[in-house]
Amino acid sequence: MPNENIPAWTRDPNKRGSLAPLSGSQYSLIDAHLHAVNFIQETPGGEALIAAMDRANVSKAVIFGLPVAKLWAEYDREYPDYYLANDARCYYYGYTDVVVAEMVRALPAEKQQRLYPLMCGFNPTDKYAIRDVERLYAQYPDVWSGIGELLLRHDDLTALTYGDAARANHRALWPVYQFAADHDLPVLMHQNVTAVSKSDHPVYLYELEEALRDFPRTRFILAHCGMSRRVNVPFYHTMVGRLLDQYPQLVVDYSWIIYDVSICPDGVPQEGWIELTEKYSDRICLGSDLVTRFERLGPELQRYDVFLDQLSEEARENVCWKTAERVYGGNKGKV
Amino acid sequence: METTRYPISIDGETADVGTAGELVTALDVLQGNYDRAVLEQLRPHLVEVIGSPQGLYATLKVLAAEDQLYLIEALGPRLVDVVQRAGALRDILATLAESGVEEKLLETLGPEGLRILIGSAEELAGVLEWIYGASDWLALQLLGADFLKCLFQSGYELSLVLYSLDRARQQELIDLLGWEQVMALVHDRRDLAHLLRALPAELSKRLLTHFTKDQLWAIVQDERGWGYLYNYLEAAEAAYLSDLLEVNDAQ
Repeated sequence: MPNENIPAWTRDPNKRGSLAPLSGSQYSLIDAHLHAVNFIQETPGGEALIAAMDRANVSKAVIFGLPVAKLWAEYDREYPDYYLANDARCYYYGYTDVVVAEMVRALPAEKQQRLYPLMCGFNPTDKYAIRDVERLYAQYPDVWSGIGELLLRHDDLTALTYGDAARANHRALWPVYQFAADHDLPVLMHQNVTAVSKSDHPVYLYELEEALRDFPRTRFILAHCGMSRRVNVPFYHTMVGRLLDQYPQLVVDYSWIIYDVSICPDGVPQEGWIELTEKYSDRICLGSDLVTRFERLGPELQRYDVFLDQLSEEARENVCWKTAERVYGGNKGKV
Repeated sequence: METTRYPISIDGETADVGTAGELVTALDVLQGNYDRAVLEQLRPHLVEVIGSPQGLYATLKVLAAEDQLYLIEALGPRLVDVVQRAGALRDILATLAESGVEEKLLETLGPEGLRILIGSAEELAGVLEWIYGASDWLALQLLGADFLKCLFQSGYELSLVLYSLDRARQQELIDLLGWEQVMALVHDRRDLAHLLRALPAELSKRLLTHFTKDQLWAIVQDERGWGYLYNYLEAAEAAYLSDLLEVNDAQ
């Protein structure tokens, strides 16, 4: 969920500046991680999204809402528009899926085909979660391409959200994972590998691995490789490599902060990540992780070019679109 | 609704801009080196592109002061259509860090624009909250004495605005309204309490000297009223008022 701390959102007057990034990556790609609804549960709409994709050389997009809404608290005079906008809490908001589904259904068929919508609007700490998933599948069977992005361990958002801390190994999610396995659906999850206060080792990784171990036939996608704002640990790419090696059903996406912090700091692609990407390119997707603000798609995705340029053609095609197509495509109507 | 986009061209590269988000993104990818050039090219369409107070806030936020001034001037008489409401003006003024830009914004809105936006004393208090000194006074002068006299319906409402002003500006506002007008706003002990709370002791004293003892008792009404009022007063004010009312502080 990009903010001003990453290069695509900050200015460097020492750089010449160019309008070219508005046209997106030189490589046509699938944005595998895009929030079509923001934290106050508003969306610019499907036509705006498709138009932005066209301008940014994005062929398809994996889209979803946000399972939590930011409260406009009684004590706040200014309305918040982001989960970190102020101290107000967040709460689970099921209607987000309806917003997404209706947005998609309002588009002509050929435009709908360019979107892979996921459902996420349920409380992942509530054992009724599976009921909500089944309801939404029953209501919009032609819409969904999978489940996600589940917001589990998530830097400050975990602390700001009412209720139990959501985590990948919460037993309320077991029936959801089983549902996904039964219907061969992908589950995209945001699960930080560690807490914001613990950067020497990944204290929450075991929670993810417990789910991966217990559900070997569920197709999990770990959003931005488990990294988040102020969440980092040593040996990151080695750890990701170990996970990909250990759990054959696991896929990761490169999006948001992982790219600027670890994969390509200061615009320099890191050798370890290039090797990892070459080895596992069929299990790696690329995404913007934009929260609406579709006009940013171009520069957000164009910044990946310096890394993509370093890859073999096969690996590049995989991370640009083939992996995402394999993971998210062909899932509509499975339930 | 279909968004109309307008072309910009920088160093042989072109792009179309139709929303404030797209404008800010274009300015960002140009690394802030072409802000003025982009604004100049879009000048005839800036009202449509920026479109809303959120758009104006987002655009002002990324501009240097001299380009903020240019943008405000470019929006001109239609600035009020972009700002739309007093709460938005409050939020935009709160985030501007240059008095000169704040004053340009107020001057460009002008008396008419400000009067369209500000419909209550509470809204005026919000607008004045995060501007200071000369900017406060400019806003009050632009609104004008006649408008302000109609705006304030009670001492309590006037107090809301007084809280947003420094002492010199409080004095100037009272001079603008006139003490008689201020007195007329004091309908009950709540009005008097809030006015005395908002004013420094020196001005509180001047306010009180305009009332006779009987007028004050008509406002305070009884011992309960005095107790209510007493809780709002600083010690010196309480002593002074108790002398006027000829009550014991302890009552």
